[in-house]
Amino acid sequence: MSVATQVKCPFCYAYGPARRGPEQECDDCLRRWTPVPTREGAAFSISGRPCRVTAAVNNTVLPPRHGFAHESFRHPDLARLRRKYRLGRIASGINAEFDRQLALRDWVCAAWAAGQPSVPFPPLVHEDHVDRMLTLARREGRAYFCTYKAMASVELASAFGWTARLVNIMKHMVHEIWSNDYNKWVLHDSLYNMHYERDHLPLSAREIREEHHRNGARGVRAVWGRGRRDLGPAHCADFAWYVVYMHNNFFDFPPGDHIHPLLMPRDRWNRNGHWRQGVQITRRRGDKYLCKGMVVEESDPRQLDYKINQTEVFLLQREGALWARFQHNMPNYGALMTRTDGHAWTTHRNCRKAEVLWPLRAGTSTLEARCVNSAGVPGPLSVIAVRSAR
Amino acid sequence: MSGTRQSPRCVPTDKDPVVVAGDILPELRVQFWDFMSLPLLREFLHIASRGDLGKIDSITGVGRTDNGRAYSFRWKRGGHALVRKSAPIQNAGHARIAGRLDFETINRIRNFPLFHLRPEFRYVG
Repeated sequence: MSVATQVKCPFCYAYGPARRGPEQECDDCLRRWTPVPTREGAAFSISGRPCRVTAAVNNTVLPPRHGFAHESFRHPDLARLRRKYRLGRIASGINAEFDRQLALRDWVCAAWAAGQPSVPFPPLVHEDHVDRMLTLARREGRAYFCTYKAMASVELASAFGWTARLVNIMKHMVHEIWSNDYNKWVLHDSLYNMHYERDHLPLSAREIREEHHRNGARGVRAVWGRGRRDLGPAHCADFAWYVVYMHNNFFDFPPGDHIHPLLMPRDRWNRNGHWRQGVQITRRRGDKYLCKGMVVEESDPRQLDYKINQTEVFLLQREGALWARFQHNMPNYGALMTRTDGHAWTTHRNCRKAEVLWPLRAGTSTLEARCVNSAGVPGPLSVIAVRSAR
Repeated sequence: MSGTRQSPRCVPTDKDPVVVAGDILPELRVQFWDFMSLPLLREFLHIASRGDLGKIDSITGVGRTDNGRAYSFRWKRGGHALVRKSAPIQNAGHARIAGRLDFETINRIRNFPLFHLRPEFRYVG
């Protein structure tokens, strides 16, 4: 049975088969509840009052098929990086989160020039490699190539309270940062200070790859710098293959540690195909990454671009009143924030126990919910508006 | 050389200089990898003229596109960028950039995609 035909328990979040009638029962925790639909246009009644959902942006929490090991935002090395390089100054005076992320990318781009790494190999095992790279670049003018830029960007993103992940496309390393503004992953190239957009919407690696396979990335533009300067049509053939490193806790586990897996799209675009690079081309055998035995292949776009920082709202009827419960999938969770009808925000430390009584007034009532991580960065807002008669 | 005040660490720019934090160069020469792209070059000049790269006063240079046609280009603060065909050149070309070029500005210039284009390994243009 697919997830769509099942009902999610608002108490323990277990999926189970939908039962006939208004009341549902969880097969896992055995709790009973009467759900209220949260999709736009749905009608229901509370104590005989007819109500209708007039607007709904409910950020559903999907069950993830692949785990991801996240860096703790409380890691002492992050605090040290913030202090030493005064990272707060990079994005000071910038309000929009995405613009702040562009400012960080611009800073990393300007931190050193592209070139061969001149640190002893393997440099990735140093727990303070970002600090080392920044220091050596500043003091000795050392240069490092794309892998190091991307790694540094992922760790510095953690210092800002953003979740980032390393993405290896063909012959190039880039990274994605989760954008709460756009509620999606956005690919960044901090070596060239670029990202990719279609119709002014920043794209993820999966979306760029799809555009490349569908229509040769006709509508994709390369965009440079914090001012989002359009560089013209993007050359996206290198996105035909890519892998996502399924961890960003690089202070403790450097990338390529053969512990954390890599996620690779395997779908109709590359069925039976081989990602061959370098020696694999000349020998006509082997597959990049696959030969290491640590790749997980995935065809579902929702899993490839698994949405994080989501706050899902469950509405339920109890004793003639409307109640709301919540589920989140925010890494480094700090608190759940809720408010009704634009009043002051209420903070809930424990999302699983949070329960909000939503007193519907005559006319339109709104319920808003979002999570904030331990670094104080808020996730996307879930909003439900209900119009009820007197 | 421009009249920019030079730091004690100011280095000659005939070869790729090693630049460290605190350096301020009056001039920098950047090589193209294999070729350049005209739309990217125009965008580079536009971005430089808006001050997004740093404090740049002028840019001159010559390069060829991937079809072998050579172009020279010139831009000076307050003026318009000029790109015109030039005599064929053998190597990939270069850009000479003058201004008050600090560590961050030089890195931004060196990392700009225009200077990294090559047939098998290019991202834009």
